Amino acid sequence: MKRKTLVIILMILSLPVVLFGVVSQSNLEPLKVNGVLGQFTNIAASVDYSGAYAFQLVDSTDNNNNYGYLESETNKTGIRIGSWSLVSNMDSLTITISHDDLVSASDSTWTIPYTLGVQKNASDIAFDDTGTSSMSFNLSKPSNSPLSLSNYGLFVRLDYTLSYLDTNSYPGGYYYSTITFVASSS
Amino acid sequence: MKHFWMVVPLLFLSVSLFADTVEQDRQTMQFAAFRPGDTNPVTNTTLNMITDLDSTSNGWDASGALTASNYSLGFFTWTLASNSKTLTFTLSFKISGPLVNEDYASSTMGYTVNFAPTGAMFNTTLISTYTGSLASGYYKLSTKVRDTFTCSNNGSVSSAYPQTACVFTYKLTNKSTTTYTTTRYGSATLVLNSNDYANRINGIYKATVTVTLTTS
Repeated sequence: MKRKTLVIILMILSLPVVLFGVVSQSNLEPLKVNGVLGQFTNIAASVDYSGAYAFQLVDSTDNNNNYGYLESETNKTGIRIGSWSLVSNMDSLTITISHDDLVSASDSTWTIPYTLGVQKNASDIAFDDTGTSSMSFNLSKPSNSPLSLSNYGLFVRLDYTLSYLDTNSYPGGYYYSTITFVASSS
Repeated sequence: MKHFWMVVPLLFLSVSLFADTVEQDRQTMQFAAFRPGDTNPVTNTTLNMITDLDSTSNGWDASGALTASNYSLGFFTWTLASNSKTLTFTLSFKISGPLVNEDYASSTMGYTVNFAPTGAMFNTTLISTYTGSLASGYYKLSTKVRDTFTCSNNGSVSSAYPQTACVFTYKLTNKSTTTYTTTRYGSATLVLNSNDYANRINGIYKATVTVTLTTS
Protein backbone atom coordinates (compact mmCIF):
# COMPACT_ATOMS: atom_id res chain seq x y z
CA MET A 1 0.00 0.00 0.00
CA LYS A 2 2.75 2.34 0.89
CA ARG A 3 4.46 1.53 -2.40
CA LYS A 4 1.30 2.33 -4.40
CA THR A 5 0.91 5.64 -2.62
CA LEU A 6 4.52 6.47 -3.30
CA VAL A 7 4.14 5.71 -7.01
CA ILE A 8 1.04 7.89 -7.28
CA ILE A 9 2.79 10.74 -5.51
CA LEU A 10 5.78 10.46 -7.82
CA MET A 11 3.53 10.49 -10.89
CA ILE A 12 1.76 13.60 -9.68
CA LEU A 13 5.08 15.28 -8.97
CA SER A 14 6.44 14.43 -12.41
CA LEU A 15 3.45 15.92 -14.25
CA PRO A 16 4.60 19.55 -14.02
CA VAL A 17 8.03 18.50 -15.22
CA VAL A 18 6.52 17.00 -18.34
CA LEU A 19 4.32 20.02 -18.93
CA PHE A 20 7.12 22.48 -18.44
CA GLY A 21 9.29 20.32 -20.65
CA VAL A 22 6.82 20.70 -23.48
CA VAL A 23 6.48 24.40 -22.89
CA SER A 24 10.20 24.92 -22.80
CA GLN A 25 10.61 23.37 -26.24
CA SER A 26 8.72 26.27 -27.78
CA ASN A 27 11.34 28.64 -26.42
CA LEU A 28 14.41 26.93 -27.75
CA GLU A 29 15.41 29.95 -29.80
CA PRO A 30 17.76 31.88 -27.57
CA LEU A 31 17.36 35.55 -27.06
CA LYS A 32 20.32 37.30 -28.66
CA VAL A 33 21.64 40.28 -26.86
CA ASN A 34 24.10 42.39 -28.78
CA GLY A 35 26.28 44.81 -27.01
CA VAL A 36 28.50 47.47 -28.47
CA LEU A 37 31.61 48.39 -26.63
CA GLY A 38 32.78 51.84 -27.50
CA GLN A 39 32.01 53.88 -30.57
CA PHE A 40 30.55 52.07 -33.52
CA THR A 41 29.66 53.10 -37.07
CA ASN A 42 28.68 50.88 -39.96
CA ILE A 43 27.75 52.16 -43.39
CA ALA A 44 26.44 49.91 -46.15
CA ALA A 45 25.21 50.35 -49.71
CA SER A 46 23.82 48.07 -52.36
CA VAL A 47 22.15 48.21 -55.73
CA ASP A 48 18.46 47.46 -55.76
CA TYR A 49 18.01 46.22 -59.31
CA SER A 50 17.84 42.55 -60.10
CA GLY A 51 19.15 42.52 -63.65
CA ALA A 52 22.59 43.29 -64.99
CA TYR A 53 22.15 47.03 -65.00
CA ALA A 54 20.12 49.76 -63.37
CA PHE A 55 18.82 51.48 -66.49
CA GLN A 56 19.45 51.80 -70.19
CA LEU A 57 21.09 54.74 -71.85
CA VAL A 58 18.81 55.04 -74.81
CA ASP A 59 16.38 57.63 -76.03
CA SER A 60 13.43 55.31 -76.22
CA THR A 61 10.23 56.16 -78.01
CA ASP A 62 8.29 54.72 -75.12
CA ASN A 63 9.94 56.72 -72.41
CA ASN A 64 8.16 56.09 -69.23
CA ASN A 65 8.40 58.09 -66.06
CA ASN A 66 11.54 56.31 -65.03
CA TYR A 67 13.41 57.44 -68.11
CA GLY A 68 11.92 60.85 -67.77
CA TYR A 69 13.45 61.00 -64.34
CA LEU A 70 16.77 59.92 -65.77
CA GLU A 71 16.96 62.96 -67.99
CA SER A 72 18.75 66.07 -66.90
CA GLU A 73 15.88 68.25 -65.80
CA THR A 74 16.89 69.81 -62.55
CA ASN A 75 13.48 69.37 -61.00
CA LYS A 76 13.66 65.62 -61.25
CA THR A 77 14.85 63.41 -58.46
CA GLY A 78 16.52 60.90 -60.74
CA ILE A 79 16.02 57.20 -61.22
CA ARG A 80 16.56 55.02 -58.16
CA ILE A 81 19.50 52.65 -58.50
CA GLY A 82 20.24 51.51 -54.97
CA SER A 83 20.07 52.21 -51.28
CA TRP A 84 22.35 52.89 -48.36
CA SER A 85 22.10 52.22 -44.66
CA LEU A 86 23.87 53.49 -41.60
CA VAL A 87 24.07 52.50 -37.97
CA SER A 88 26.12 54.46 -35.46
CA ASN A 89 26.24 55.39 -31.84
CA MET A 90 28.34 58.46 -32.49
CA ASP A 91 26.78 61.73 -31.41
CA SER A 92 27.26 63.22 -34.86
CA LEU A 93 28.69 62.15 -38.17
CA THR A 94 29.72 63.81 -41.38
CA ILE A 95 28.72 61.76 -44.40
CA THR A 96 30.73 62.39 -47.54
CA ILE A 97 29.61 60.71 -50.73
CA SER A 98 31.53 60.95 -53.98
CA HIS A 99 31.47 59.17 -57.30
CA ASP A 100 33.11 59.06 -60.69
CA ASP A 101 31.29 59.40 -63.99
CA LEU A 102 29.64 56.52 -65.77
CA VAL A 103 32.53 55.09 -67.79
CA SER A 104 32.20 52.88 -70.85
CA ALA A 105 33.53 49.40 -70.17
CA SER A 106 34.76 49.09 -73.74
CA ASP A 107 36.42 52.49 -74.06
CA SER A 108 37.12 54.50 -70.92
CA THR A 109 37.43 57.74 -72.88
CA TRP A 110 33.64 57.77 -73.13
CA THR A 111 32.18 59.06 -69.91
CA ILE A 112 28.78 60.29 -68.88
CA PRO A 113 28.61 62.66 -65.93
CA TYR A 114 25.63 62.45 -63.68
CA THR A 115 24.19 64.00 -60.57
CA LEU A 116 23.72 61.73 -57.60
CA GLY A 117 20.80 62.13 -55.26
CA VAL A 118 21.07 60.68 -51.76
CA GLN A 119 18.18 60.39 -49.36
CA LYS A 120 19.44 61.70 -46.05
CA ASN A 121 16.27 61.56 -43.96
CA ALA A 122 12.65 60.62 -44.34
CA SER A 123 11.82 63.46 -46.68
CA ASP A 124 15.00 65.14 -47.97
CA ILE A 125 17.29 64.22 -50.81
CA ALA A 126 20.74 65.76 -51.07
CA PHE A 127 22.37 66.25 -54.45
CA ASP A 128 25.97 66.67 -55.54
CA ASP A 129 27.39 70.05 -54.74
CA THR A 130 27.24 72.31 -57.76
CA GLY A 131 30.02 71.58 -60.21
CA THR A 132 31.28 68.55 -58.32
CA SER A 133 30.61 64.86 -58.07
CA SER A 134 30.43 64.79 -54.31
CA MET A 135 28.35 65.99 -51.40
CA SER A 136 28.66 66.19 -47.67
CA PHE A 137 26.08 66.48 -44.90
CA ASN A 138 25.87 66.00 -41.16
CA LEU A 139 23.76 63.55 -39.22
CA SER A 140 23.11 63.57 -35.46
CA LYS A 141 22.19 60.73 -33.14
CA PRO A 142 18.82 60.84 -31.41
CA SER A 143 19.07 61.39 -27.68
CA ASN A 144 18.09 57.92 -26.50
CA SER A 145 18.89 55.61 -29.40
CA PRO A 146 21.57 54.94 -31.98
CA LEU A 147 21.53 56.69 -35.33
CA SER A 148 19.92 54.26 -37.74
CA LEU A 149 19.10 54.76 -41.40
CA SER A 150 17.81 51.82 -43.37
CA ASN A 151 17.48 51.46 -47.16
CA TYR A 152 17.57 55.13 -47.96
CA GLY A 153 17.39 55.79 -51.68
CA LEU A 154 20.18 56.55 -54.15
CA PHE A 155 19.14 58.31 -57.34
CA VAL A 156 20.89 59.07 -60.62
CA ARG A 157 20.08 61.94 -62.95
CA LEU A 158 22.20 62.21 -66.08
CA ASP A 159 23.86 65.53 -66.80
CA TYR A 160 23.36 64.83 -70.51
CA THR A 161 20.11 64.13 -72.26
CA LEU A 162 19.69 60.71 -73.74
CA SER A 163 19.38 62.16 -77.22
CA TYR A 164 22.79 63.81 -76.68
CA LEU A 165 24.29 60.34 -76.37
CA ASP A 166 22.73 59.38 -79.69
CA THR A 167 23.83 62.55 -81.41
CA ASN A 168 27.41 62.06 -80.29
CA SER A 169 27.47 58.32 -81.06
CA TYR A 170 28.28 57.08 -77.61
CA PRO A 171 29.33 53.45 -77.91
CA GLY A 172 27.07 50.66 -76.84
CA GLY A 173 27.73 48.36 -73.95
CA TYR A 174 28.03 48.64 -70.21
CA TYR A 175 28.87 51.81 -68.32
CA TYR A 176 30.00 51.64 -64.72
CA SER A 177 30.33 54.09 -61.88
CA THR A 178 31.56 53.65 -58.33
CA ILE A 179 30.06 55.54 -55.42
CA THR A 180 32.13 55.95 -52.25
CA PHE A 181 30.55 56.55 -48.85
CA VAL A 182 32.65 57.83 -45.95
CA ALA A 183 31.37 58.43 -42.44
CA SER A 184 33.64 60.54 -40.25
CA SER A 185 33.42 62.31 -36.95
CA SER A 186 35.13 65.29 -35.48
CA MET B 1 56.17 91.28 -37.42
CA LYS B 2 53.14 92.04 -35.36
CA HIS B 3 50.95 90.19 -37.82
CA PHE B 4 53.20 87.12 -37.73
CA TRP B 5 52.22 86.33 -34.15
CA MET B 6 48.56 86.52 -35.10
CA VAL B 7 48.93 84.08 -37.97
CA VAL B 8 50.79 81.32 -36.11
CA PRO B 9 47.97 80.50 -33.64
CA LEU B 10 45.50 80.34 -36.51
CA LEU B 11 47.69 77.82 -38.29
CA PHE B 12 47.84 75.61 -35.23
CA LEU B 13 44.07 75.84 -34.87
CA SER B 14 43.54 74.62 -38.41
CA VAL B 15 45.90 71.69 -37.98
CA SER B 16 44.20 70.75 -34.78
CA LEU B 17 40.75 70.78 -36.34
CA PHE B 18 41.71 68.56 -39.26
CA ALA B 19 43.57 66.16 -37.03
CA ASP B 20 40.44 65.55 -35.02
CA THR B 21 38.38 64.35 -37.97
CA VAL B 22 38.38 60.57 -37.79
CA GLU B 23 37.08 58.30 -40.48
CA GLN B 24 34.65 55.86 -38.89
CA ASP B 25 33.66 53.69 -41.80
CA ARG B 26 33.88 53.55 -45.57
CA GLN B 27 31.89 51.70 -48.19
CA THR B 28 31.89 51.59 -51.99
CA MET B 29 29.17 50.55 -54.38
CA GLN B 30 29.37 50.07 -58.11
CA PHE B 31 26.36 50.22 -60.37
CA ALA B 32 25.96 49.62 -64.08
CA ALA B 33 24.01 51.15 -66.92
CA PHE B 34 23.66 49.69 -70.36
CA ARG B 35 23.53 51.35 -73.73
CA PRO B 36 22.23 49.19 -76.57
CA GLY B 37 24.67 49.29 -79.39
CA ASP B 38 27.18 47.42 -81.41
CA THR B 39 28.81 45.35 -78.72
CA ASN B 40 27.11 42.29 -80.07
CA PRO B 41 25.17 43.51 -83.06
CA VAL B 42 24.02 40.18 -84.39
CA THR B 43 23.61 37.24 -82.12
CA ASN B 44 21.81 34.96 -84.50
CA THR B 45 20.96 34.82 -88.15
CA THR B 46 19.32 32.14 -90.18
CA LEU B 47 18.37 32.13 -93.81
CA ASN B 48 16.24 29.54 -95.47
CA MET B 49 15.03 28.97 -98.96
CA ILE B 50 11.68 27.34 -98.70
CA THR B 51 11.56 26.23 -102.31
CA ASP B 52 13.91 26.19 -105.22
CA LEU B 53 13.63 25.47 -108.90
CA ASP B 54 13.61 21.72 -108.79
CA SER B 55 12.08 21.12 -105.42
CA THR B 56 8.58 20.19 -106.47
CA SER B 57 7.84 16.52 -106.54
CA ASN B 58 6.97 16.43 -110.21
CA GLY B 59 9.24 19.18 -111.39
CA TRP B 60 7.77 22.37 -112.69
CA ASP B 61 6.15 23.17 -115.94
CA ALA B 62 8.47 25.48 -117.79
CA SER B 63 5.64 26.79 -119.90
CA GLY B 64 4.33 28.43 -116.79
CA ALA B 65 7.45 30.52 -116.63
CA LEU B 66 7.20 32.17 -119.99
CA THR B 67 6.92 35.87 -120.30
CA ALA B 68 3.18 35.74 -119.95
CA SER B 69 3.49 35.20 -116.23
CA ASN B 70 6.21 35.15 -113.71
CA TYR B 71 7.04 31.86 -112.17
CA SER B 72 7.36 32.07 -108.46
CA LEU B 73 10.48 30.65 -106.97
CA GLY B 74 8.76 30.63 -103.68
CA PHE B 75 9.62 32.35 -100.49
CA PHE B 76 12.73 32.61 -98.50
CA THR B 77 12.94 33.72 -94.89
CA TRP B 78 15.57 35.12 -92.67
CA THR B 79 15.71 35.60 -88.98
CA LEU B 80 18.07 37.68 -86.96
CA ALA B 81 18.56 38.66 -83.36
CA SER B 82 20.43 41.78 -82.46
CA ASN B 83 20.76 44.49 -79.88
CA SER B 84 22.13 47.05 -82.29
CA LYS B 85 20.46 50.40 -82.66
CA THR B 86 21.31 50.46 -86.32
CA LEU B 87 22.19 47.42 -88.31
CA THR B 88 23.14 47.14 -91.93
CA PHE B 89 23.29 43.89 -93.79
CA THR B 90 22.99 42.77 -97.34
CA LEU B 91 21.04 40.12 -99.10
CA SER B 92 22.78 38.94 -102.25
CA PHE B 93 21.02 36.88 -104.86
CA LYS B 94 23.26 34.83 -107.07
CA ILE B 95 22.20 32.61 -109.93
CA SER B 96 24.38 29.75 -111.10
CA GLY B 97 23.69 30.19 -114.79
CA PRO B 98 21.05 29.25 -117.32
CA LEU B 99 18.71 26.36 -116.74
CA VAL B 100 20.47 23.23 -117.88
CA ASN B 101 18.89 19.99 -119.03
CA GLU B 102 20.08 17.40 -116.57
CA ASP B 103 20.57 14.82 -119.33
CA TYR B 104 21.80 17.13 -122.09
CA ALA B 105 23.98 19.86 -120.75
CA SER B 106 24.13 21.60 -124.08
CA SER B 107 20.44 22.34 -123.92
CA THR B 108 19.89 25.44 -121.81
CA MET B 109 17.29 28.10 -121.26
CA GLY B 110 17.92 31.64 -120.23
CA TYR B 111 15.70 33.44 -117.79
CA THR B 112 15.34 36.55 -115.76
CA VAL B 113 14.99 36.48 -112.03
CA ASN B 114 13.14 39.33 -110.47
CA PHE B 115 14.01 39.92 -106.91
CA ALA B 116 13.14 43.54 -106.60
CA PRO B 117 13.36 45.38 -109.89
CA THR B 118 11.47 48.36 -108.57
CA GLY B 119 11.30 47.63 -104.92
CA ALA B 120 7.72 46.56 -105.29
CA MET B 121 8.39 42.95 -106.12
CA PHE B 122 10.63 42.36 -103.20
CA ASN B 123 8.43 42.33 -100.24
CA THR B 124 8.90 41.80 -96.59
CA THR B 125 6.68 41.76 -93.65
CA LEU B 126 6.26 39.96 -90.41
CA ILE B 127 5.04 36.46 -90.88
CA SER B 128 3.71 36.33 -87.42
CA THR B 129 1.53 39.37 -87.67
CA TYR B 130 0.77 40.00 -91.33
CA THR B 131 -0.01 37.49 -94.01
CA GLY B 132 -2.08 39.47 -96.44
CA SER B 133 -0.97 41.11 -99.63
CA LEU B 134 2.51 42.53 -99.43
CA ALA B 135 3.57 46.08 -99.88
CA SER B 136 6.85 47.84 -100.28
CA GLY B 137 8.33 50.56 -98.17
CA TYR B 138 9.55 50.26 -94.67
CA TYR B 139 8.28 47.83 -92.17
CA LYS B 140 7.85 48.07 -88.49
CA LEU B 141 8.54 45.24 -86.17
CA SER B 142 6.92 47.34 -83.51
CA THR B 143 6.91 51.00 -82.72
CA LYS B 144 10.57 50.58 -81.91
CA VAL B 145 12.01 48.78 -84.91
CA ARG B 146 11.76 49.48 -88.59
CA ASP B 147 13.81 48.60 -91.61
CA THR B 148 14.28 49.75 -95.15
CA PHE B 149 15.58 48.11 -98.28
CA THR B 150 17.43 49.40 -101.26
CA CYS B 151 18.69 47.40 -104.19
CA SER B 152 22.07 48.59 -105.34
CA ASN B 153 22.74 46.86 -108.64
CA ASN B 154 19.51 45.53 -109.96
CA GLY B 155 19.58 45.04 -113.72
CA SER B 156 23.32 45.37 -114.07
CA VAL B 157 24.34 41.76 -114.02
CA SER B 158 27.54 40.61 -115.66
CA SER B 159 27.69 38.32 -118.62
CA ALA B 160 29.61 35.65 -116.76
CA TYR B 161 28.04 33.11 -114.42
CA PRO B 162 27.37 32.92 -111.64
CA GLN B 163 25.73 36.29 -111.64
CA THR B 164 24.85 38.39 -108.70
CA ALA B 165 21.38 39.46 -109.55
CA CYS B 166 20.78 42.00 -106.86
CA VAL B 167 22.29 43.14 -103.61
CA PHE B 168 19.91 44.52 -101.10
CA THR B 169 21.13 46.81 -98.42
CA TYR B 170 18.98 46.22 -95.44
CA LYS B 171 19.12 48.92 -92.84
CA LEU B 172 17.39 48.37 -89.59
CA THR B 173 16.77 51.10 -87.10
CA ASN B 174 15.99 50.01 -83.62
CA LYS B 175 14.69 52.31 -80.97
CA SER B 176 14.07 49.45 -78.70
CA THR B 177 16.07 48.90 -75.59
CA THR B 178 16.76 45.23 -75.66
CA THR B 179 17.76 42.47 -77.98
CA TYR B 180 15.14 41.88 -80.57
CA THR B 181 14.42 39.02 -82.89
CA THR B 182 12.79 39.51 -86.23
CA THR B 183 11.74 37.13 -88.98
CA ARG B 184 11.26 38.45 -92.48
CA TYR B 185 10.53 36.88 -95.78
CA GLY B 186 10.64 37.76 -99.42
CA SER B 187 9.75 36.23 -102.75
CA ALA B 188 11.46 35.89 -106.07
CA THR B 189 10.00 35.18 -109.48
CA LEU B 190 11.45 33.83 -112.70
CA VAL B 191 10.63 34.56 -116.34
CA LEU B 192 11.90 32.31 -119.09
CA ASN B 193 13.29 33.76 -122.27
CA SER B 194 10.66 32.78 -124.75
CA ASN B 195 13.17 32.39 -127.57
CA ASP B 196 15.09 29.85 -125.51
CA TYR B 197 11.97 27.91 -124.67
CA ALA B 198 11.21 26.98 -128.23
CA ASN B 199 12.74 23.82 -129.64
CA ARG B 200 14.48 22.79 -126.45
CA ILE B 201 14.95 19.14 -125.53
CA ASN B 202 12.31 17.93 -123.17
CA GLY B 203 13.39 17.01 -119.70
CA ILE B 204 14.24 18.47 -116.35
CA TYR B 205 16.14 21.73 -116.30
CA LYS B 206 17.97 22.90 -113.27
CA ALA B 207 19.62 26.02 -111.98
CA THR B 208 20.63 27.21 -108.56
CA VAL B 209 19.68 30.43 -106.93
CA THR B 210 21.71 31.33 -103.87
CA VAL B 211 20.66 33.87 -101.34
CA THR B 212 23.37 35.10 -99.01
CA LEU B 213 22.91 37.17 -95.90
CA THR B 214 25.86 39.11 -94.57
CA THR B 215 26.09 41.69 -91.85
CA SER B 216 28.35 44.64 -91.45
